[in-house]
Amino acid sequence: MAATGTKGKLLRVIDDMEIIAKELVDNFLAPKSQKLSSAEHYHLGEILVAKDQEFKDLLQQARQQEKVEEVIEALQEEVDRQDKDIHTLQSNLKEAENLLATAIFQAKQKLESIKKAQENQVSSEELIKYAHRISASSAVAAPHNWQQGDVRRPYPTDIEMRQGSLGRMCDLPLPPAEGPRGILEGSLGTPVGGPPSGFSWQLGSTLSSQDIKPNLSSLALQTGLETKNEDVEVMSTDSSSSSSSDSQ
Amino acid sequence: MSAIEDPISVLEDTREGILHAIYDIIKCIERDSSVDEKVNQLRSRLENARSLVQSLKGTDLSPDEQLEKAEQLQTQLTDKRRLLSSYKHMCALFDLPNGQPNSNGSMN
Repeated sequence: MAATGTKGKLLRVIDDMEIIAKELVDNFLAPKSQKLSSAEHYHLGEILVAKDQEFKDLLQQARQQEKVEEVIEALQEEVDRQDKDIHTLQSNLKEAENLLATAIFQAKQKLESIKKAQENQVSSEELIKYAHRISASSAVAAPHNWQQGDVRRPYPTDIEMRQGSLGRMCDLPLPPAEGPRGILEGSLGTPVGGPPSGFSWQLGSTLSSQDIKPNLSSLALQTGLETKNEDVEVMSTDSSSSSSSDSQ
Repeated sequence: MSAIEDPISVLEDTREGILHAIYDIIKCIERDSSVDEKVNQLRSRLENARSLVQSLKGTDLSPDEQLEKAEQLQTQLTDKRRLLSSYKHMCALFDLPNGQPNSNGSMN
């Protein structure tokens, strides 16, 4: 195999010099009949000198290559450092990409919500009104200024129950706007939606459930409600009266 | 031989020593004296030269191949610097100082 590198060439020259030296020594030690001619002997000497010159040239070349090698080492070191920096930056950018992907996803969700809100706009006044209404009627506790006879109650009214999801699931028909409740309340002497001023709860409490039921049945007849609806109405009224009596 | 000494300088000396050893052997033959010591001396110098050649740095390649390798590395370095510069530019776009993300991981 032909050596292409300088190292291989140097080793080959050393081998050649060894062979030539051996030939020269052998020629000197050989008997006269087997000795080389003086021309051949001279030629061997010339080859040895040429090899020595080649050795010298190769060493100069090796010295230059040594300097180039230093440059290569420095370049390699720099390349390795750049590789390390690139790797660090790549991982940082990957992290940034992940963060941005999350941020974009959340921003898209937010934009969707904004779009939906713009499509179904609700005025703030209406919202506040509704908040007042549900806090007055559907709260878990009575309003702090609640008094006996106050129409505001800490639970949904019958109409609200019918309007709610449960009422719809049971297919309960919605009563007329001023249905039995209004009439019932009117019959109890309570002003509908008005303040509880001048109302005596004792008046309501003196009415027993037997007194109310006939009124309800007559109301059901008047309004044309079905019998099952009447049951619900009675139950609701009973609970309100029992609740009222409990509150006493 | 000192380990710090330049192996090429040592090889220069060894090269001259090889020639001297051959010359000494021829002289000894002409004087009909023993050549064994001189032959051993030549052999040891040749072996020494071989081991020194093995320790030479950057001589595995030919000069042309070596220059080609250096050129390739230079090109590689230029490309990597350009890539690094573009990455740093991107980091600047994301407002990441020194290419580091915010400590809380949030992107402002």
